[in-house]
Amino acid sequence: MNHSKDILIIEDESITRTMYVSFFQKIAPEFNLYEACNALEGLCLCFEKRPQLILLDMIMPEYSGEFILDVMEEGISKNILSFIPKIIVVSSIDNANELMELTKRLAVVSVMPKPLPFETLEELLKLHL
Amino acid sequence: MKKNKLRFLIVEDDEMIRIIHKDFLEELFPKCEIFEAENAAQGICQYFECSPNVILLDMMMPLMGGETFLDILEEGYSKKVLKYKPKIIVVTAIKDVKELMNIGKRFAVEAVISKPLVQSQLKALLEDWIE
Repeated sequence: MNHSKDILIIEDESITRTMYVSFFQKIAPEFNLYEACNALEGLCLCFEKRPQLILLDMIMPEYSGEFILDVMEEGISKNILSFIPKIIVVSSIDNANELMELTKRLAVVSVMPKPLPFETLEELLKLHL
Repeated sequence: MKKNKLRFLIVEDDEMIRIIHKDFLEELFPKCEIFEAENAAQGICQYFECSPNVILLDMMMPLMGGETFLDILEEGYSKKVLKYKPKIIVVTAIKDVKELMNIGKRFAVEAVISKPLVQSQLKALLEDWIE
């Protein structure tokens, strides 16, 4: 079990990130929030802070959210990682098959559409925080 | 670097080459710890879990290559997310001089050695760093 009080937000758009931050500050004020503006920074923060929860944008320039899932999956399946965060994927992809595939990935607990429905996310967080 | 606290990470997709590197390092430093990864994704996980002080990094690997490994660490250093910086030795079969120069210039890279690895070169390099 991961009992850290940390949440990591990985999203390339700064306005969207700010929106997520104010949402979490309101509904989970006791958590530390970390922000990454690309997948590489996100991966480093993920390993350094070992957050309990990650909100992960799928479509980002250069390295995508998929890249983070690939690395985490490799680390988990080869028993290298000593922690498993809960990842909520945020994606504007509307292809049902692609979305289904994302939910099957290791560490992913939920896939949410973009723009993010905050009420649904709040319900979901009650289960995972 | 202290001789009795050496921790190596070998990131290399070819199992035979991993074994050769491993045997060589164990013979040179019997008390060292050695971790292995067969691609950059495993390598990056090992880097964070095992805190190696020397990394032998192959550039050409299927799926995720050495370039990706360097990209992650360099982003982490530049954003000050990562504090400690292990010595990375790139071991590569690349022959193109320009490409080799570019790898050598990368911030995270300490040295570039050609592949197949000349063990005396590696030994000289390591002995330079180790007290």
